[in-house]
Amino acid sequence: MKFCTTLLLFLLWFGGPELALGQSEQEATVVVYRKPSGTFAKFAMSIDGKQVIPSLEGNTYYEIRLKPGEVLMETRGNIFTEHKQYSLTLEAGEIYYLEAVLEYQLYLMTLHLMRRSEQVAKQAIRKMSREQLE
Amino acid sequence: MKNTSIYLLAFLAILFLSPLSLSAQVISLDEAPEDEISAPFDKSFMLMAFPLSSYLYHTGYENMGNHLKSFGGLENPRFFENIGFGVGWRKKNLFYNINASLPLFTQRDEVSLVSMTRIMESRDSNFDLSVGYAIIPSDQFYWILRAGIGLYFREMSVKEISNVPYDFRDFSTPEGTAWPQLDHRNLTLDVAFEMLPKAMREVAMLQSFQLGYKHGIGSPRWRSAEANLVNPIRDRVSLFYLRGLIVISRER
Repeated sequence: MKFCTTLLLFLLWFGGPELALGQSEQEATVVVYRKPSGTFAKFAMSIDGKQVIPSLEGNTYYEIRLKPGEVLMETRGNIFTEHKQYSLTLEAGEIYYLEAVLEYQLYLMTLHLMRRSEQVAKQAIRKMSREQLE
Repeated sequence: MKNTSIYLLAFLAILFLSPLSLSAQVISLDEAPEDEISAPFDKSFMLMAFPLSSYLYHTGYENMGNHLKSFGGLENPRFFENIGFGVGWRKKNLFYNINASLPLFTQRDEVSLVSMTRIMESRDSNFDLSVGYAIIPSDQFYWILRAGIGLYFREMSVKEISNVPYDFRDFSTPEGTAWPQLDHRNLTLDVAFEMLPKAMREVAMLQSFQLGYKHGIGSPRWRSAEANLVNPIRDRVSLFYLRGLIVISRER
């Protein structure tokens, strides 16, 4: 019994972040991450018109719990930026990985959201800071 | 600096007349969509154009500078503004470029004396070949160290115009005198550091900025196509530059 308790505590300790993702069957989880970036450009992200991330930082991943259904996600910056809009249909218990990729063009910056596989995303976020948003 | 003011006004006009944040259609992420952008490509062909200026700051041409000052208080101009253009190729992190720059405006200095006005006008242009390598790994930019060789040209003229009113009917006897047009050519070695965003589309428009230094090889004589020069002085080019270019890049 003592061994089982110790093993459970050990698993919870080391498997914590992974177990935490998508643990609720009533909600979907969206993980948005941005690789390290040496830019001063500030982009915010909104979901269904509500700003959820005021400034998407580099080397950070954001874990967002949402109700199932279709959501509208937007990325928006200051001047000389492109306003992008994405739709995503969420299912309860599922985890969706999105990479925020900054593109530079002539007098224009765009923060794209790109769907990534679990394997690719987990590799990318391995050493990133984590922010959990409700 | 009036040309700089024109650019500043144009920039402000673009800023205020264009939408500050462009919007687009809704993109569905439900099915694996074809991504609008891609990871950086292996090869590029680049056309570089000039709507952005190159700013040159000279620390050379010392002999001509001293000559002009002792001749009559004229200042050898140190600051020039040129327009640049060129072509470039990239293979992974290796860059090859051919660049040229031409003067937009003539640099001018004048001294008003009692009986005349002394005027000096100068125009610079250059041509260079360079090889660069992206030395700092980055997902979004190429940080390129460049080395190259080039040819630097300067044309200069000095004239003195009498302050006596000029009679248009007496065209055959103008008042004033002029030096023959002088020119100077110097082979240069070039080292520069460039920031170029990585293209994420097959055809992309980008901005590139280079900060560099050119140093003349040897000290060639000043020459003139209009007269034989006796005791011509020698000079060496030495200048720092900031070059802004608009890059149209075709990626493969």
